Amino acid sequence: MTPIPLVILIWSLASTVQTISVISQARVSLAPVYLSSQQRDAKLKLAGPAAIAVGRSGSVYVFDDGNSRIVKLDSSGKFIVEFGQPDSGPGAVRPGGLNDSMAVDEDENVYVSDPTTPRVLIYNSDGRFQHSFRLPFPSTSIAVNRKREIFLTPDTARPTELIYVFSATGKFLRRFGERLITSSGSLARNMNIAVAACDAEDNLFVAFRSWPVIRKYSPEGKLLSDNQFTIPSELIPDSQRGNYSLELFAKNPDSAFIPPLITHSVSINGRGTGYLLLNAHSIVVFAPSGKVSTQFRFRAPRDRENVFIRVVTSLHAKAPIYFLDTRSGEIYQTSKL
Amino acid sequence: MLIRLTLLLVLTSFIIGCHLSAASPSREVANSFSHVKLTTASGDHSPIPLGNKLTVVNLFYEFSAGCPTGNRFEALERFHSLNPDAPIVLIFSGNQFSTQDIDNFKAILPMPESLVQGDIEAVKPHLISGKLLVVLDSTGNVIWHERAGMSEQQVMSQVGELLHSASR
Repeated sequence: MTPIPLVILIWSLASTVQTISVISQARVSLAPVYLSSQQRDAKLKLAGPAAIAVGRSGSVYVFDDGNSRIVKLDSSGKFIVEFGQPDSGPGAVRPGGLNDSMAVDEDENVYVSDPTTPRVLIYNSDGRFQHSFRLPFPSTSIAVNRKREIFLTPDTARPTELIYVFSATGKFLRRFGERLITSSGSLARNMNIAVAACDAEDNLFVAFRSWPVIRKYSPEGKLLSDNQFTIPSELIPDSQRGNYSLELFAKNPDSAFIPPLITHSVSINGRGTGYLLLNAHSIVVFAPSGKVSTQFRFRAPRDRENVFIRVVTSLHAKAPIYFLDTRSGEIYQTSKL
Repeated sequence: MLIRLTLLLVLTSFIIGCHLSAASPSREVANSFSHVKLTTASGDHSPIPLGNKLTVVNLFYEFSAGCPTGNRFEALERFHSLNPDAPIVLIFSGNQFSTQDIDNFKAILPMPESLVQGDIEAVKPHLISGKLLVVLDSTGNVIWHERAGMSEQQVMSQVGELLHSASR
C-alpha cells in the first residue's frame, strides 16, 4: 500500500473510533455567584435555568427556562433586570428544554433561539426586544461572532449541513460542515446534535453532544482541525465499548439507543483557550488550535447535588469561567481551569 | 337477520372507505378558504395558482421540521417526488412569517418554487396543529380537506387517491 492511501485509511479509522479511558480527578475551586435557594424574593429564584452567556461588561445573562424569561445579573450575581417573560408580547421567549439557546455579541445584544416555534429573538443589553426571525427547524445551540453573524446547529432528522449562518437581520447567509452521520433517523439525529462557540478571530468551534470530537472551522466554514478527546470510562461498560462506533450508529440510524456521553456546552476565552463540559462533572480544556490540552473530572461544591449543564466564559481577557447548575438554579465561577 | 345486518354494515363501511372523495368538504372551511390570498413581492394579494385538474394546497401558521407541521412538509416532499406533475402550493401565514423568512426557507428547504407567503387568517379557526391541507379543483373550489384525527398516512393516501382518480 502506498503511503497516501495508508494515511487516508488511518485517518478514516481514527475519525470513526473513539478512545475510552479513565479520567483523572482535579481540584477546581468554585465560588458561588448566585444561589436560588438563598433568594428570599420568589421573583429572584431560577427554575431549571438552561443557558447562560457572559457579556463584555461582565454581566451574566441566564435563560430561566422554567419561568420563561431571561435574567440579567451583574458580575457579582446581583439581579439587574428580567425580560422575555410570557406577557412581553412578540419578545416573549418560550420554554426551550435543555438547549444551549443563548449567546451575546460584542455590544451585548442577546440572541435566543426558541426551539418551540423555531426562531431567533434578539434583544439589546437592557432587555429591549429588537426583532426576531423564523427558522425552518429548531436549533440546539447558538453562537455569534464579532460581525454579528449568527451560527445555529439544527436539530433535524433531515440530512443536511451541520451549521447554518444568518445575518443579524435574519437573512440566511450560508451553511457548512458535515454531520457525523449523514443518513436520516432518530439516532442519527441525536448523534448530530452539536454545540458551538466563536473565538475572538471569528473561528467556530463545534462539539457533538455524544461523540468525542472538537472541530474548528474558519468563519467561511472551512474545516481547520478535528481533534478527539477521551470518553470517561465510567460512562460505557467494558462489554459495550466495541459498539460505540459511528459505523455501527450509521448502520442503525433509527435505533432507540441513547448515547451516554453528553457534551453540554463549549466556550472560548479571550486567549483562545476552550472549555467543554461533559456529563455535568468533567471538563476538557483545548488550545486555540482545537488540540486537547487536558481533561479531568472535578468535584462540585455540593458534589452530585450540583448538575452542571453549561460552562461559559467570554472573550474579555480576564473573564471568569461560570458553571450553571440547572437542577438547583445555582451559578458558580472560577478564575482558572 | 343478524348476518344480513352485519353484511350491510360491512358493505356500507366498504363503500365509504373506497370512495373517500364522497366525504364532502365542510362548508365553513370552503367558505373560509375562499378568502385565502397569496402575498406578492410588492405586497399585493393574488389568487392561488391552479393546475389543470387538482391543486394541493397546505397552509402553515406554524412550521418546524421535527414537529407535526414539519412532518407534513416532509410528507409533501415525498408526495411531490412520487407525483412530480401535481401542483403543490405551500402557503405560510404572512402574520407569522416575514418575506425574508420565506426567502430563507426557499434557500434552505426543498420545493422552493412551492413556498409562498399569504393571508390565511380566515382559515385560522380550522387549522389542525397549525396547518391545513386542502385539495382544490381547477376552478378553485375546495373538494377535500384534512380533518382532525387523521394520520399523515391517511391524509397523503387520500390526496394521492384523489389525484389518481382525477388523472384518469
